[in-house]
Amino acid sequence: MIRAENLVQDYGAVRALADVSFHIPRGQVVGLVGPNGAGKTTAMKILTGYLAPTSGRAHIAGHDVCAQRLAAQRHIGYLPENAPIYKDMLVQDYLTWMAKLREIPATERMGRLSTVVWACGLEDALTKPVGHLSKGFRQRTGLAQAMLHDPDILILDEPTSGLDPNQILDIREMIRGLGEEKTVILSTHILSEVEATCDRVLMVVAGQLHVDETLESFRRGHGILLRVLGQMEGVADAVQGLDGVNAVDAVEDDADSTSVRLHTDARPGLLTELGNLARDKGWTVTELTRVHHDLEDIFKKLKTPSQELVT
Amino acid sequence: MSRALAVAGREFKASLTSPLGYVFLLLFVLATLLVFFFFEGFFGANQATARGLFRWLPPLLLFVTPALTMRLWADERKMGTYELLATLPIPPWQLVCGKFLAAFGLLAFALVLTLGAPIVAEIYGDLDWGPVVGGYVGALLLGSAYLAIGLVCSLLVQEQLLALFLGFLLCGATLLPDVALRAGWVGDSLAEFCASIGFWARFASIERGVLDLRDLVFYLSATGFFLYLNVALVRWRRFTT
Repeated sequence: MIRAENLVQDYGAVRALADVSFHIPRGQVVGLVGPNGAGKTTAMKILTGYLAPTSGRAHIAGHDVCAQRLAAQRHIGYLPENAPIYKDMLVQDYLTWMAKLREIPATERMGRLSTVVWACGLEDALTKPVGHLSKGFRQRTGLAQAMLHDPDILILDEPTSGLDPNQILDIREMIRGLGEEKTVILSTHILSEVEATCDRVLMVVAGQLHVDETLESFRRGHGILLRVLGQMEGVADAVQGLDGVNAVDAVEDDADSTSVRLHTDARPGLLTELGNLARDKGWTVTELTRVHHDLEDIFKKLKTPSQELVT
Repeated sequence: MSRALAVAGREFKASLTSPLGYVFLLLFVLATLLVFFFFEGFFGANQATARGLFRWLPPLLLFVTPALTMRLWADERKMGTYELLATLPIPPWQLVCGKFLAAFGLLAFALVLTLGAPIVAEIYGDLDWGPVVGGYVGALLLGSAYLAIGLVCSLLVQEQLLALFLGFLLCGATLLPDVALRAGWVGDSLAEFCASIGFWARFASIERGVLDLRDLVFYLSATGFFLYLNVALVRWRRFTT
């Protein structure tokens, strides 16, 4: 449904996106995460045809967003960052106006309008000027606008930013509902949001795609924590030699034990081999666990670029 | 085209509800009527003519048209709503047409409000309506070209007032041939050329009541050129940030 091929975007001398590629099939809810300024918004601007990439291509439902922009844009509902909106209009006028610009036939207009108004809980806000709305209602109006033409694809840039916890829950629930039929990309820098709403994670840091995984495999976690009694030398070197171990970190611990954290491909049998290795070396293992490493961990790691990356 | 009209409708309404738009529109009408009745000595001249009105329209238009267009693009970009428009499946020329039509509608509205001047002239004496009609047609034509220029300026910056200032400058720049002509800076060979591209020189002949096809074509092509520049700039924006 959405295909990005080697997207590069330069802002002057700054490279905002460096060779980002991904493919999103129909019906997936994808969380685009990364720290502020990582290139999430830039990627979305390219996908929506707002920005032409410096190089690379993006396809929406088979249409190139540059060469066949209008055809591609018909498939997209877009909520830009901060939900920009015409402050002087009433909510109902704004939505009706958008329906006209989307060329929704007059006979279907009322039906579509009432559908999105109901879905976004805007019934009581219809006759209010958009400028007087709270942040939450503004965001909902923006979402209603994005859903108006019943698009296959929704691209939502930080749909929950600036909302209070209750509103966040509402919007998340709405997005989960949308994800049953539609392809959704949402961006956020709140990791729990991805875990709550998405099927898949794309993590962008400094313009590069670092993680592209389903949330399921992501949750399974590929980390193993090994704790051995006493101050032992050479633990890290020994486990490094095992098949399937990509990297080993020493973990700060108390003086009585030595701990290492293994980054692996989650190969079956690895835990057994580790056990055998410990017996051969004569280590007293006090802990051997799979680490559920969540997004927060990766996020923290990626913030310090010198450190080796997970996975 | 229905989408261009939808854009135009929204902008027209928004301009009439924004205080700044109102102020400029009313100032224009007020200034026009003032110069007509007092500055041009309508009551003293004892003559039913609207010539004085049209002598002053070009400079007044120069001031009011950038004010009518300053908001149209600059505010969209400042508010971020430009991104909404640019991601709708609408060809840029329809957006540009919509913006232009809104501004044209406002200008026409303002000119209708100045009709008080010729009507008073008609009441006091027998007014020759030929030049009046010519003058209004000329004002709409000259105004259209200014509006198209003003729209280009509004697309270049995010601050309305900066767009206004740029609009004055660029619309003012179109007067250079006229100024050169009046000041006698140019020789005979160039004078003809200056007269042919001078925005005000053209207006003078229309205002005499002579609606020459060449004048019509001149203003329409100037308007078309700057509107095209608008479309090109909207397209170009995709490649910049």
